[in-house]
Amino acid sequence: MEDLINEFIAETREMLEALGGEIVAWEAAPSDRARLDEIFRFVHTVKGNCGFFDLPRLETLSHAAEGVLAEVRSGERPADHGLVSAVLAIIDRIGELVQALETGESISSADDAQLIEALTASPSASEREHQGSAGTVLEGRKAVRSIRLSIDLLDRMMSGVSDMVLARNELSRRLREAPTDLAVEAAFERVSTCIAEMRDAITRTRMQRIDNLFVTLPRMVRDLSSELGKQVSLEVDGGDVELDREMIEMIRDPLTHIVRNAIDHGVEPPGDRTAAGKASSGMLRVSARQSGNQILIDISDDGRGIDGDKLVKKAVSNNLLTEQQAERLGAAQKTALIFEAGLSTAREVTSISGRGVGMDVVRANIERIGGVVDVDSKLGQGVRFTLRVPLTLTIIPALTVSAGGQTFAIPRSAIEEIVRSKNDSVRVEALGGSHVASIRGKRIPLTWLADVLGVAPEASASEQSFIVLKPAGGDVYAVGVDFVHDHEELVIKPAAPVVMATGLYAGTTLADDGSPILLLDPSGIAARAGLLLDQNELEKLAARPHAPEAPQEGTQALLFRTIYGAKRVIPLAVVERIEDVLPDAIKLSAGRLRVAIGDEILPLAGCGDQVPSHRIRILRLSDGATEVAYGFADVADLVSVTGEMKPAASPGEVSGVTLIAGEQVEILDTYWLFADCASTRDGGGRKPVCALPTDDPWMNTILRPIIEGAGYHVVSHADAEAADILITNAEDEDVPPLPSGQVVRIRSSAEVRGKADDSIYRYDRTGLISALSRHAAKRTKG
Amino acid sequence: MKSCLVVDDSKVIRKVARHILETLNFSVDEAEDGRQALSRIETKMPDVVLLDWNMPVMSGMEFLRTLRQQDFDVQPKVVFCTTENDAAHIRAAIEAGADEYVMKPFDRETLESKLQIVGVA
Amino acid sequence: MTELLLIATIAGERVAIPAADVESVVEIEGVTPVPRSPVHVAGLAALRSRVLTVIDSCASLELGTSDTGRSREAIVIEVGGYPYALLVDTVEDVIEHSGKVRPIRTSIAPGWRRVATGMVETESGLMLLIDANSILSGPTAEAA
Repeated sequence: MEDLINEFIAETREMLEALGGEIVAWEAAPSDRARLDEIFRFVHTVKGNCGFFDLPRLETLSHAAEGVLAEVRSGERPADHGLVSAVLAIIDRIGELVQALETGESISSADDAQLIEALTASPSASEREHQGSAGTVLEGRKAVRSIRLSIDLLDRMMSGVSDMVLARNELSRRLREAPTDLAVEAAFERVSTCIAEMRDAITRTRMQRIDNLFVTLPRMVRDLSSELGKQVSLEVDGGDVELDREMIEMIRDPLTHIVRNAIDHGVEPPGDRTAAGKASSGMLRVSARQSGNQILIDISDDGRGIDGDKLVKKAVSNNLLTEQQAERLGAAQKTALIFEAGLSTAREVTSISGRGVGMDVVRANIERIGGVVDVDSKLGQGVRFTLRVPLTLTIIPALTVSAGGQTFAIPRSAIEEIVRSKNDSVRVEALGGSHVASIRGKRIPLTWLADVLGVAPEASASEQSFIVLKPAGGDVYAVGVDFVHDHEELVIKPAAPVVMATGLYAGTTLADDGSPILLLDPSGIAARAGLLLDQNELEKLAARPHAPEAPQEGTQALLFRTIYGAKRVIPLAVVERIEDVLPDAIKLSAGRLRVAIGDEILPLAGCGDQVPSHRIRILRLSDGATEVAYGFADVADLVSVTGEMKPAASPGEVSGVTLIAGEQVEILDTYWLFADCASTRDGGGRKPVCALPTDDPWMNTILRPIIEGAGYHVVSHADAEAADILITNAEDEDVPPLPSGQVVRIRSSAEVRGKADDSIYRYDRTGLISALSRHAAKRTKG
Repeated sequence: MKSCLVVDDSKVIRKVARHILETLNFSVDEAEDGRQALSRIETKMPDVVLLDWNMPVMSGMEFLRTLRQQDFDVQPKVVFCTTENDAAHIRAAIEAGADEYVMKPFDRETLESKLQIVGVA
Repeated sequence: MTELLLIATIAGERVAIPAADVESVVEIEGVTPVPRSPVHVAGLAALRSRVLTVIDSCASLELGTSDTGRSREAIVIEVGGYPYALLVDTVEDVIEHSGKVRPIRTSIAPGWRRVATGMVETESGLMLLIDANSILSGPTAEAA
């Protein structure tokens, strides 16, 4: 069917071309019978043909024109100028629609009815219109006439303009170097403006709405699903996204293939879906959006998903993987095997998506145009393919920067902000071996371009500038560069596959002096730098966990080296963030070291009582109420502490020793730290004692600091005898007797279980604190 | 195997017709206008002609009249294609010697039944 | 059948390359490196308004890396719509060859084995016939 529609387009176009002369001649002499017959035959054929396709607009238009022309032929109506104009307007519209069929543009149907109405308008009315002036004949027709250009010609125009831009840039450079008179400069400015305008116009001729690609989908989905006895509803979004005409053609096959696959292999037959508790009709979503210099096309279905294990089995039996390699694969890597040649999960090759073309070809095709295809699948829930394709052969605004003595370009569309590291509002924090830039209080992951590219930086860390980037489909991050040069309009050419394969570049361009520059791919840089964490994950890493639901796996802890070189761990839950501080922010006051950070003054531990002589790094620890700073040398790792703890001989900064990777590591006693700092704050006095089930990790890492922050000394249930208040899980039966009788029960679900339930939800902080103070008040009275 | 000559100036129609006819087990020959159709017939007589009406060079009507004047041993059946459901138009075609008519767009079933009516399928 | 062959020297060895594959022979100067690219990708060079991907033929043949700091002769070929420049020591001649392409019977280095399609007898002796395309793929292609 697709072949046929192409035939139809080609044939109609040929007829229109052949008709071109006739139209003009008929316009001049409407009574010319031979011309009338030609034009009649055209609309007649179009009408007859489009009946075979689902093209109601074309059919309606050609039918209307045919009817009127038949009347003219039979002598029932004169071929007045109004009628001629109306018929020609319809022929023009037919031409536009046929072109749109080919290119996928959409043309508003709003005035179709008006065009048809014009045909049947009373002759006198159209005559009157005509009598206005001779010019109205032409004005009455749709003003937009189009001609066809070969893509080759457009390409030549485009590359001509590209060369012109380069020549202009070079001229501009030479003019800057040599003293010139104002008249020359003014003339040069004019040339520049002309070139810019022309470049815009030509660029636009190559751009097309992606709708072009999407219009054929509803029909394809309908035909395929009915052929396969499946029900699939299609949702299409983002048809107004524009990209290079050539790109559209390059994406057509891969997109078609993925959609076919989704219907054939993804979406289950209605019976299976119902049995799996899904709606009987499958959902297929195709959407496009532009993000910087890339277009993202998502194709997702809610079908059975990709069975990664099956793929692995097949890969092993096809000798693509060894058993050992297979064992090491993560879920995403297993799913990605779909792109390997010869691996298709379907038991048999079907007529729909078989055809010997696999996802390996899809990937190859996308990569050939400098794109990337990703897959994400949940077994039983569906698959999402994401095609990321660049806008190649275009001129884009870019920023030139350098790293390791080499100039690179960054698409300006991906740039959010450029900041100098010397700027006061910028701070660099180290975190678990990586870095975070804090820009005006907002923390974003940071990497260095020289590191990512494996070249030696020319500027020191403090001299680097940071480019804040928002890559296509990714999260904001910052990249440090040696120097920031200039904003430029660059002619981007696709880079060879071997260059694209690095995943770091989006294309190449030429500098003013004619030397090549690589255009960086912001997503690729982030991926290479390992910045695939999304913002939330980073926050989670940096701050306390929101809800540690897997306490069995041990406590997440930060392994670091103290200023004195000892290795210690601290529960990650209490680490707010890591910062660099200068010695002049640290003072010995009120009996201990304190550090000023912003407008806060925090007690500083970890440095003894000597103000350090140089810049140090601090851990900002928080128990939810109190903050403490702890000076340290560097972060070694993020670890999970599961091993047995040997308690320290005496209470102090270190609560004990544990084994991490065979090495003895001291555990920083956060309780003692907070208590110590709090006591300095409060100036002593006996603290109320609260007994906690300290063997419960949630209680110990999350609740404990809050209770301590409220001024309590926390002991374990084993020492409950001395406690003033006992906190327990509502679910626990085995509660030690408490002489004072004050028990606060904490439940893990938000719902209350019956009226008698006086327990408090574990994240109801206010309720918890007020319960504590209520009990404390009773205690003091009693 | 029965044979059919498809006469239509539109390649699209010829392709559609060929596709359908081939699934109906016909051998298919094509002509772009009436004159070409006549010369085809001289070299190879089909069992049936699927004839478009409105064609350049020689229209369907002209072709049909000429065909029916020829002194062949066996005349082919002629099914003419039209888009008009116009009694006068159809009558003119039948009078000129058409055996049956079929409306465009046609599908397999319609065409098959028309061919059955004229006794070639 | 006669075939035009380009005679060039790569890593000190004279080889023949079918001239039909060759777009032009140019002097390459000022190669811009492509960080993180395979070892046989010397970098990028501009030729008029085109950007050539410069391939270090020596590295591709696993015979060490060439000096890209100085001006070098290169063979320009176009593959898949992308222009490439293959760095060579020198381009010597273009000859007409009408003899047979003979299979390689002797043991040659693995790099050469990957790119050589046969042997040809010329006036200046026996030499390897090289498939320029396979120089592009470099040593990594087989390892993967």
